[in-house]
Amino acid sequence: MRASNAEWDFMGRTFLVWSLANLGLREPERKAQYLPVMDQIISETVKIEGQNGIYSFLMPYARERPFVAKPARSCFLDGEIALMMGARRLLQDDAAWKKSMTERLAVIEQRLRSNPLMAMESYPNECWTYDHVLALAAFRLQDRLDGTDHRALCRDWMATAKQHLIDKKTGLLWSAYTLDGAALYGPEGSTIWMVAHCLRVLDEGFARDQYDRAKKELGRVILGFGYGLEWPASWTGPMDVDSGMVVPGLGVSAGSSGMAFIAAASFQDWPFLQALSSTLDLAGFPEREKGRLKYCASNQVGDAAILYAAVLGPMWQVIEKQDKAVGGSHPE
Amino acid sequence: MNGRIKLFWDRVRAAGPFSATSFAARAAMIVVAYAVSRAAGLQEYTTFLSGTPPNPRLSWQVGATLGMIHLFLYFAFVLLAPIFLMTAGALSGWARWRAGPDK
Repeated sequence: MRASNAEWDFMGRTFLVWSLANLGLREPERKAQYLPVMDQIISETVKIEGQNGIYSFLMPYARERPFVAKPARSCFLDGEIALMMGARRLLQDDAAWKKSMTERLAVIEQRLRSNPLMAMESYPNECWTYDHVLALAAFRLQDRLDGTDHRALCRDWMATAKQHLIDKKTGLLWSAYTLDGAALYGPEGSTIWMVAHCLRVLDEGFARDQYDRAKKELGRVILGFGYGLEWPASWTGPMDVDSGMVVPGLGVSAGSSGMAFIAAASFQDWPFLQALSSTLDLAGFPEREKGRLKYCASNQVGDAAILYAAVLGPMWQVIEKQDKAVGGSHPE
Repeated sequence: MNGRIKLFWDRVRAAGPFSATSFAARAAMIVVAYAVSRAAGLQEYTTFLSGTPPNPRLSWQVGATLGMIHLFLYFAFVLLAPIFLMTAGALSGWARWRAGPDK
């Protein structure tokens, strides 16, 4: 998978680890089964990154120009790896993962604080909202695990995002922008659904607002079959690795539809989730064999994202419970 | 075997394009073609839909073409074949009703 798409290889790992954490929280008696798998995935990921550098899991265009901030770090990798480590620690704490998670988050915090827009590159001069909200979710998890307090950091980022990163026509967050705040990609289905899910642990009201807007602009149900569009009517981008194949005419995007599962499950939008499932069963080419299910039309990252949508909840509830205990994480 | 196929084909042609026999024959052909595609494992090539190379040993174009063939046969199987069969049943029932009760 890494040879054909390094990002998907990486994200297949992260979604699987987060899924196992949610499963472990749901079924504590099976933690012993999940922990070694999580450890192996995280260890191997960190090892590959250590041996071959950050470009191991970035698309080839990352090498076309240098990162602006030195030394080169990617919010995509640091944030998602930190969240993997935090997810693992939720099941059982571990000193080595704690140290590594703390180091990565310290780098992210330093980069966010040193940019006026609190932006950190994922690719050279390319900052992704998706990666920022995942990193901030990792900070929230760290607060829960280690007693740190990053509420101010999250609050400041949210305020900046609301002021500078919103598409005026749709009210949705941009997907990607430069370090000085120029939009690179407007609202995209492959990004905004997951962003809305992560925003739930940062700003519940804004998360709901983004989900509702995304559903209006990008969610479609025809004859009981649900799907996601990649772009709203007011913004068209190129069909790329994030959107996946876009069906001409209908605008069905594999990337957006996959991520829509996560958002619909997160916001407990059961009718939309049911409609998405109907489409997946019709067009995903499900194969059931000996109690196992796979979708032939999917791939490693698609399978892991669908699994995550099926089991998500407990990890975010841990953070939400903490917020209730201390009286809210994101006052306006 | 060839003789039987020829006989079957002659009957279908003689029945006319909008006859119950023709619709049933079309449904049968779709079912057979889809069964062959499944048996050959072409469903694995539909992974091109998620932008993933179906088989590293085949070129992207060949893999996607095989996936497209399965895609069309699958939708023919789930959408067209049942419609053809229902049409064949309706036409057959209509013909019997028009012919009146057996004496």
